[in-house]
Amino acid sequence: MDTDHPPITAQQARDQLDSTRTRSLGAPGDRRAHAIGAAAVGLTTGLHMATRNLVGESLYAVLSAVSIGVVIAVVLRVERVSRTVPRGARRWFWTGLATSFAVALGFVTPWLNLQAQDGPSTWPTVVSGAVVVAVPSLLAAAAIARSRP
Amino acid sequence: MSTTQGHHARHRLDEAIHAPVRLSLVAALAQVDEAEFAHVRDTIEVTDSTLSKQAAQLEVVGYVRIRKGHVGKRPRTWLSLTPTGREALARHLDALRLIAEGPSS
Repeated sequence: MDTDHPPITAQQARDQLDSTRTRSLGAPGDRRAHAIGAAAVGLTTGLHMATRNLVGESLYAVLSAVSIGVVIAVVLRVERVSRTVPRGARRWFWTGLATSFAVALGFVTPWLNLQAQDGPSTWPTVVSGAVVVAVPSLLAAAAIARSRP
Repeated sequence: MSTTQGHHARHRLDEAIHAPVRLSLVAALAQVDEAEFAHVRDTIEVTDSTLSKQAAQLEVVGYVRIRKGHVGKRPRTWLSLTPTGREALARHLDALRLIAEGPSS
């Protein structure tokens, strides 16, 4: 007799398979919390990056501190209210944020600097830049929200 | 018979996750990246001590990661399935499907 692998009937195997399908840890509220968090971090990053030429050095330092504070608060809030981290949520979050930074550094900041040579940045310009920077994180947020439990 | 050992699908069942509670635990954790201890306990309907013991055994074989931290002043424990654990679960479920299909497996 094979004591390491005791016999298991087809019915027992089906029962075990069924038992793995009945309980779900995933919760729509957790997906929503992570999606909102990713969107908030993306928008904060976008606004922070885009206001570079709109305000003076000292005010920008304050804005930077506030942005970092908002990001930390959002991350802590998401962790506090969530009981699970949805499948793929972390990967989407970091991919979105990294892409937002890449867009900011490689495209939006040079564009805003170019615009600033002709005159002071305007709010429509700043908002446009912020939205472009935030888009990758907003897409990541949508992917998290639409992910299956 | 040693010549036939390893051919039947039951030989591919993973001893570490064959027990009902451990199978429920890894199957539940496979649906998420990470889950809070209390939420897992309530979902798979076991006691604190049972979950703690089973999770610790799965951590020893490298299938589950246990992360302890704090949210505010409250201590929280988070459980997650490692890549090794996901592979083991996939192999185990494949073996169960083969057995469930009938004696020809």
